[in-house]
Amino acid sequence: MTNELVLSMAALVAAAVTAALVARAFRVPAVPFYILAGYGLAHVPQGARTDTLGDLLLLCIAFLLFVGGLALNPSRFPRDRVPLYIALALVEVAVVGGLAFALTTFAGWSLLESLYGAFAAAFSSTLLVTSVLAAQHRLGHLAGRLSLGLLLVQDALAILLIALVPVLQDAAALTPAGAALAHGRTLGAVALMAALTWVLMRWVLPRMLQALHRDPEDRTLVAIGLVFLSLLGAATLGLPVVMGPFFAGVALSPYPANLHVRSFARSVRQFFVPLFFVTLGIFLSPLTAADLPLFAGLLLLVIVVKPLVLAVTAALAGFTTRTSTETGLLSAQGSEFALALALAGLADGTLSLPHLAILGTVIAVSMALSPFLPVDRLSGIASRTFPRPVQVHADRLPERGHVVILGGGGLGRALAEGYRARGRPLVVVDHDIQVVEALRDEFPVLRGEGAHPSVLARAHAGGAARVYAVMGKAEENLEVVRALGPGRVVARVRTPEEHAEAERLGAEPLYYPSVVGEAFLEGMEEAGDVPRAPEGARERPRED
Amino acid sequence: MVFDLSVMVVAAVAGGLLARTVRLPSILGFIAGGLLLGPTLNVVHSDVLLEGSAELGVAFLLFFVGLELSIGEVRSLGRTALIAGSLQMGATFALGTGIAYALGLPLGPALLAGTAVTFSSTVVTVKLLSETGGLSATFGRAALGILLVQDLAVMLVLAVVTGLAGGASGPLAASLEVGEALLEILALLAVTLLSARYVLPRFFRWATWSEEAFFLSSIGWLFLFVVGAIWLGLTLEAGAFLAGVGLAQLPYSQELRRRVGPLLTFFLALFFLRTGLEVDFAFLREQWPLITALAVFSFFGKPLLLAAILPRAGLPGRDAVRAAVSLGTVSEFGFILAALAASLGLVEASLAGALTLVALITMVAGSPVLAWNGPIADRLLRIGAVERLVAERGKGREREEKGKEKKEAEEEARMKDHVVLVGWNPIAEDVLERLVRQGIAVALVTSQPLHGHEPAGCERVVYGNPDHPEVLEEACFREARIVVSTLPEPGLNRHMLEICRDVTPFAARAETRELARGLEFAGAAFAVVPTRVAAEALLARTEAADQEGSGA
Repeated sequence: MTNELVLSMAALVAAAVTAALVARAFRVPAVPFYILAGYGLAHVPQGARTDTLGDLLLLCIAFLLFVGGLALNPSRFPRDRVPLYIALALVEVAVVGGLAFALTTFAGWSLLESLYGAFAAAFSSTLLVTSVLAAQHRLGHLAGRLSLGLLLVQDALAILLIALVPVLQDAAALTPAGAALAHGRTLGAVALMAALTWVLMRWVLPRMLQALHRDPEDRTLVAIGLVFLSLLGAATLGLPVVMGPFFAGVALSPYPANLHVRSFARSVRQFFVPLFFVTLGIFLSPLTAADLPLFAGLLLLVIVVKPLVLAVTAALAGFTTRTSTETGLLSAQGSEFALALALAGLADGTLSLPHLAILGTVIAVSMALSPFLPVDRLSGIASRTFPRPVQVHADRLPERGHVVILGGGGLGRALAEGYRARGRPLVVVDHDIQVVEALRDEFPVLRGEGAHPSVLARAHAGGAARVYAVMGKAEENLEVVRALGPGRVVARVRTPEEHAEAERLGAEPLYYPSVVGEAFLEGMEEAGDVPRAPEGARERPRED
Repeated sequence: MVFDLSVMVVAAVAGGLLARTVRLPSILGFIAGGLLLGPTLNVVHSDVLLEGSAELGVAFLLFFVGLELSIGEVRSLGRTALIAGSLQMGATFALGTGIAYALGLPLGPALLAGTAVTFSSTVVTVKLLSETGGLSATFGRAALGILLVQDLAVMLVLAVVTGLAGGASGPLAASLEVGEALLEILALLAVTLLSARYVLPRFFRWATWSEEAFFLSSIGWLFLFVVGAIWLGLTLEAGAFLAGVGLAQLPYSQELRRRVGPLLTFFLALFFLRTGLEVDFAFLREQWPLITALAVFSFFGKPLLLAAILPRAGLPGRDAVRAAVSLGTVSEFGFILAALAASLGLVEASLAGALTLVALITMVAGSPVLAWNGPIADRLLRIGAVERLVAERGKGREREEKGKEKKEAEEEARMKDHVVLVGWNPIAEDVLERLVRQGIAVALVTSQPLHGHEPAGCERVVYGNPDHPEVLEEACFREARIVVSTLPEPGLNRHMLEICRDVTPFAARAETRELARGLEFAGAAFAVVPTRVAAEALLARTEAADQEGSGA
């Protein structure tokens, strides 16, 4: 009497829970474990019935792409950075994708299959990188922002390719003119979808969701309706169905619509995305010895060549060695979008099961390995080995008795303004081009890695009256303390260990929740009639 | 198949939103979507994907309901529900069978028809009552209790019917089946309550380090019970409900409800759509006297019986009427049972079709009644006969007083003159410590697991994402002195400002001066920019040190 889908889903959920708990125990991203659990499930007799799984998988892909689209909030990216992101992503995709294409063609794959190989190697995982960055509180750091920008361009590119691949497949049987027409029609259909998305995003959805403000069920219904309506729309336009949900996600991505569908997106992500990876694992067959050379080659391409290519391109675009290396290393894995693409290929017969297994395994293994790459150590080494020339944005830098502010973020800027108001000579150091651009009209600015000895020398930190190391990463702030010795340095820290280390090195550790708490209480006294407690509570970070 | 599913989802959503626009319950729209696609246009058909989704919808719904109930509440539901439920089921069964027999059905099928109308629809009732907040009221609890007793009976009936199919016969075999089913339910209940006591709290404290592990584990727990119940020959509903009751004892149950909510909406819409999709109006033409008679009996007779029984089981008059009118629907079990009996060759397929229509008609007619059960009950109580029927007895009054006490206790649970603190981070810790030292009550709202940093001295901790207005409601933000957000997300802070506007002052952290100005311009009491505050403090300290230096 009970539906077999419910039983299959129970098996999938059991596998996903096991994977999530293992990942929790080791405190690593769960994605590779989901795939592994699915792979294991396929080998349990009666573990899951594959006849219902195909549809379930498509449903999961639809929701996965919806969540992907939701992350692509166009207004989140500074407009002047977009061309740079696009250029970097295109170069990387062209080089790494081209190499993978050559490798798979050499292994005897067909043209289309090699294209899937190229996607698998070239694209990186937005899901994984976001979770790694969030876990390390690095989403806001320069390398984090750069990585996310690149990933989102890649995702958009992947969507375009999802649309074009079926046409490529048919194009083999067509005349050149016919093929051009087919491509034109597909691009037209994509453009139409994009235009509709834009209209929905700008004018329709914000108003609609605002009107349904109070009722969570109505908002959920709107989001669900949009996902499936766009799926039907894509099908009607002759595009692959899963493109629709992606556009639905994009349409809902800007503020305030994204807030209204946040809880829906969260539930969907936490339920369907693990099921997607588990189901995928079920479809993977074990590799044979003959597959291993190609597998190794592609894996090398993903974890070694891709980071290198990205690092070099980013460095050429003007980013510092450290940021470039970090960005490259963060992208050292395959992408869930490429997996979705490959599965679509399997469904329409353009990719064989053994080849899917190779690509799937490359992606899964690289996803499992990439969180363990020693990003900080490697980028530190790179930055020492290839120091980049420091750029000075000032007529003359002060040499003695001045203030050096390392890190031009909110705190650095506020300090600089305070010192300028007091008439003290100062110099601000930051590695982000954008930050430097914003500061250079107001203050003497140095562009470079604040922790690098050559940069410190250039800022005459040795002769400074005071040095504020207030960069995003506490580790770099402590490097400054070590380089300059005791006294004079104020270093921003986050953990008790860093606090103790700063004190031991003779620097003044900066940890300021207590000051902020005081400011809150001050405001609350007036606004909420809350009596004020005089003393602060926390002068140092507490044990985790 | 996914294409078909999309058509169905879009139809259901369109129907649901349309129904909501004209202030009707959304399920009417979902059913209408199914009626349009199936019997009317005949464009899609039910398939494995849809049926599985529909079953998941039911499982999520019962899980959702279970999550609301603490052990004490389950116990307090028990007695009234057991007495009233048994009396109602006995009477309805006898009368329903009589009606069907009088209309010319042979005794066997008449017994089945009588059984089918006995049960009210748990899905429809619970869905609509939870939408209007009725489930937490006295009458809603009573209705839920009766539904659960009915569900228990359904499991026993299913055990007997499956036993019949297996070739067992005679009263001894039947009572053995019933006894076994009862034992199994008790065993599952024991498992869920014991784990809730000894295993789950520790496990979840460990698992909440990762949001994903937390949510997946809960879903895994649900599926564990669903599969366990099916394996034992019980219903999916029973398993899902018991799984929910187990997790309801944890502090995370409300947040879990909010997370399950969107999935529930999705799958349950498909459940109702399927109900509409599978209707075959041909049976209406053939068997309209039987269908009409059973539907009328269920819709009017069943509530009438309950209105007579409930006050005598201790429920005060108005609540009794509200609970009674809430239970006039016929359960989907009716047709599941009929379909099962038909597939076993016990009755004809046309009877199953007719019973499906009875269920559908009562669900459609019952939805508005459920949505407006309060006003309807008031109107009914003005009729002399109804008033006499539910005339208060001593016991009823006693109950009412107890209800009043409960209300007072609820009043006490509301906080007043406190501070709502949103977000749990070092800044929030500092603010909390200062407030506690001043003796100010604090309700902390956090979506983050606390990782062992239990907020000391905090009067209430609400787990949840503050983008839900109900999360702030749970922190009683209306009665608070001020709502303070220490979260750095500007969009979220703006959203909370909108919720608090004109109700309670709102203050927030902002990462830049521009964002702070924007918030204050939009109506925030004030905004704190941590880096600014820190820089000013640092500069003041340096200046003092420098002056000391130059002085010396």
